[in-house]
Formats: sequence, structure tokens, C-alpha cells
Amino acid sequence: MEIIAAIGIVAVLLTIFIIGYLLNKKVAKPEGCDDDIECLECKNTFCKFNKNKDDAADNKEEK
Amino acid sequence: MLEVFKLLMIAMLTSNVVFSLPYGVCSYLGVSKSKKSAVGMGFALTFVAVLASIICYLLNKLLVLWNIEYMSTLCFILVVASVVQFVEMFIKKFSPSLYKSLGIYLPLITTNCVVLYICKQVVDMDALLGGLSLTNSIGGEFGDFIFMLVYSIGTALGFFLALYIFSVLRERLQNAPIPKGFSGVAVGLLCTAIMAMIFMNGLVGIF
Repeated sequence: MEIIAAIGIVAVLLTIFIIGYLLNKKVAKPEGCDDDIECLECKNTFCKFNKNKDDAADNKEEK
Repeated sequence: MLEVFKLLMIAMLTSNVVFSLPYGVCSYLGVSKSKKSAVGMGFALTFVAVLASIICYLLNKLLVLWNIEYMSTLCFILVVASVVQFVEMFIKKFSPSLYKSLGIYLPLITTNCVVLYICKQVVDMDALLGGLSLTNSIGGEFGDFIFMLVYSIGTALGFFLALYIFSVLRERLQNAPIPKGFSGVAVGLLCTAIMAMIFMNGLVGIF
């Protein structure tokens, strides 16, 4: 019973998150907004604000 | 009321989430290059943290009822991610000017451990207040809720304060004659260490 409740609550929250993500994607960004935060502080290339991403890609190509 | 004020000051200053724990150091270092970005990040994080902590506090009551407290971390992560998505969507739609100033920081907050830390802390207010040598002077569930709100606002504002002070310092340091090996993050971390000593040791005992 507890396992069903645990799976159920995770499923509900995951659904809410997915709905939120899809709805958010549909809403257009207002005009004049750029994703222009300059952040060079970590090596997390998955982060869209990490400008190091381009340097990492360039280094890979050179090698 | 005094206990409420003490909790606010302890959460903001002596138990500052960046200096004494430390949490949120990634965005603390990354978004502190200018005052403008620090203010945007601070406001966005405060709003999301308070909203997420309210939802997680109420959700935890359900988890306790169903005897599945062990799912709290996973559930809280999903709650924080969902809150960020919905807040970003509402701000994009109903306040484009607000989105221009702080909407771009919202995705950074999803992975910010300060928010998850606040959510994990507020679910057991008795333990939290006991650990800080405070008591629920208002009493009952309502008192717990008020203290929870004050703690989440205080912690988020503490992060905001740390971030803003650090951004001011970094702007000044950009023009300072610092040796190349120390410039950037290195001197920033040195400044952070000094600020941590001030916050933790200098302010303790006041509250």
C-alpha cells in the first residue's frame, strides 16, 4: 500500500512537472529578452549559460 | 514576536546558507559578476524558495500520513522543478518586463541546492527550532507555519544578501591590481572566507 502511494505521488508530481514544462515551452519569450548571463564558473557544459561550452567544443575539434 | 525576529536574523546572518553551511555556492560564484544579475537572481530565488517551501511543507504532511517520508527528497525536487516551470510561464505571459529582469535566472534556481535545503529543513519545525534554541511561541500548527515562512524568507534573503555583497566586492576587484594567479574566482573565494568569518563568528551571540 505504501509502495503504491509512493509510486502514485511521484507519478503525479512528474506529470505536473511535464505539463508545466510543455506549457512553458509553448509560451513565447517576450521580445527583447536574451539569455545573456555571462557565467564561466563551472565546467557543467549542460548548463545553457555556460560560455565555456563553446571553448570545450573548439578544443575538441582542434584535437 | 521576538522569537520570530530572532529566527529571521539567525536564518539570514549567523546561519547564512552560503557562509555557514555552505549551499548555493555555484550560483553564488557564477551570478555575482555584476550587481544587476545578483539582484535578479536574489529576487527570483527568494520568490521560488518561499513558494516551494510552502508546497513542500504541506506535501510533507501527506507523506507522513501515508508513511512514505523516505520519498521526501525526490518529491521535493519535483516540486521545486515544477514551481520553477510554472513561475517562469506565468511571468512570461503576464509580466514580460519582470521576465526581462529576472526570468532568465529561473532555470538556474531549479538546480540551486538552497531551495531544496530550505524545503528539507522546514518539514520538521520542532527539530529546526530546537536546533536553533528557539521555541514555537505562537503555538500549534499555525505557529509552525508562520515560523516555517519566516525561516524560508530569512534563508533566501540571507543568500540574496551574500550574493549582493559578493557582487559589489567583485565589481570593485575587477579594477584592483590583483596578481594574475589570484584573479577571478581565487580572490573571490578568499573574500568569501573572510565574509564567512565575519558572519559566523562576528555576529554570533547577538541573536
